[in-house]
Amino acid sequence: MKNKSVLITGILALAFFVFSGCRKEAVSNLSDADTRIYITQYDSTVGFSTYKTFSIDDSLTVLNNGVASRSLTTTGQAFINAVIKYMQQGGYTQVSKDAGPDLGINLTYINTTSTGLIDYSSYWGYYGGYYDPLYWGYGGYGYYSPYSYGVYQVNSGALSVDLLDLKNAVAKGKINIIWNGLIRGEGIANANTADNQVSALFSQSAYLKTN
Amino acid sequence: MKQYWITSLLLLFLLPASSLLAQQGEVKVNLGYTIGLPLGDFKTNYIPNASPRGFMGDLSYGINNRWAIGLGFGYQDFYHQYDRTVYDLASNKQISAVLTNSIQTVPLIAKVSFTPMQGTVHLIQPYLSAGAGISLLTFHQYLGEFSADDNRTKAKFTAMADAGFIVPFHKRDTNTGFQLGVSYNYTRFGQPDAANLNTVGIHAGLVFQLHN
Repeated sequence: MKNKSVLITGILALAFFVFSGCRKEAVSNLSDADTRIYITQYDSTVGFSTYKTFSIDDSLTVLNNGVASRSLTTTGQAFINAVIKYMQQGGYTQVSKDAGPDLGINLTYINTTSTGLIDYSSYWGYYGGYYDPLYWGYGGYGYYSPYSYGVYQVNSGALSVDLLDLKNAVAKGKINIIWNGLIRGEGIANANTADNQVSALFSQSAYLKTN
Repeated sequence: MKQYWITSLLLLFLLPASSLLAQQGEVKVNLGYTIGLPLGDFKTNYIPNASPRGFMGDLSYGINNRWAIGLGFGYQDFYHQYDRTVYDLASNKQISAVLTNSIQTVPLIAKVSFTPMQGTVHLIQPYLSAGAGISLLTFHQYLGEFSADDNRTKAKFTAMADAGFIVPFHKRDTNTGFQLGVSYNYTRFGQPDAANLNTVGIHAGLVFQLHN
């Protein structure tokens, strides 16, 4: 009898540990800011100090489940302003796109409502399709990116900042994407945090400077 | 002094057969709560903190008064979240993220136990045990809210050694009592920066006879 009660106590204790959540939830406690990842990559054959001027697209391209559109909201403007700010901190001079900038900057908000897996290399594959190189005055040119992303589970948006090599476009016959910053996670589309988010991209890209 | 030790060891191992066989055929269960303390590269590169989320148990069959064989099982959940850091994915590719490691182990092992004073009326019954088997190991690594590609549960080789003591509830029934022990646990991890998952487990629980 005594052993039976001990056995029952033991089994109940075991059941308690099994069913009372003895596995700590890994990411449910993350704040929106902590859910975000900032990925930057650059063309290592390029010397960023050889570029001096830049121009930035005055609108965001929005990719909504693969369909591209143009948009300029308060949030989008906040991101554009932040990119200008950190480019200028690196010593680059903003000029109009008609003034022959060394660098062109595109901002793209990628939104998908699907879940599952997405390979961001497909994002690059479609780049020329949704972003007309004529905007930068290089109609007929193709975009080229040496990068590809890994496979990530997608259930939220992403913001991509691309630096385009316009200075050497004619010589190379294509528009090389020489730097990309990608923000992924929750709460990206927020004007109040746009500066912090862009700051994170530039702070881990110390090579983005003119000297 | 040397002779004393030899005599003691002989007495320990050469007890009368009738006493030795008193526990033969007994089936005992041990269930306990475990705190896991990471060691080595596993501690340095994955989980720096102790895990208070674990339990262990075993089912043993007495061969004689001092030796028992059985099956052991357990569960331990390891978790750690690192502050935001910039990591190199390649020489020209960096990622800034809050990195979270979440690792669960479920060892299933064959064990042998040695309890030198089993069947005596000592207040404290020390024991030693060792075992080997597999551990079902699940490893999730998150960058922000994003999980890495490979999250499957894998069976890995595991081995353990355990030492501790049992405090019987009754002087004449050493089969039921409170158990306290410390184990060393080795599990193959196979990560580039941590080949093995080494931990020390501190466990406390109950041991009781299931069948005679």
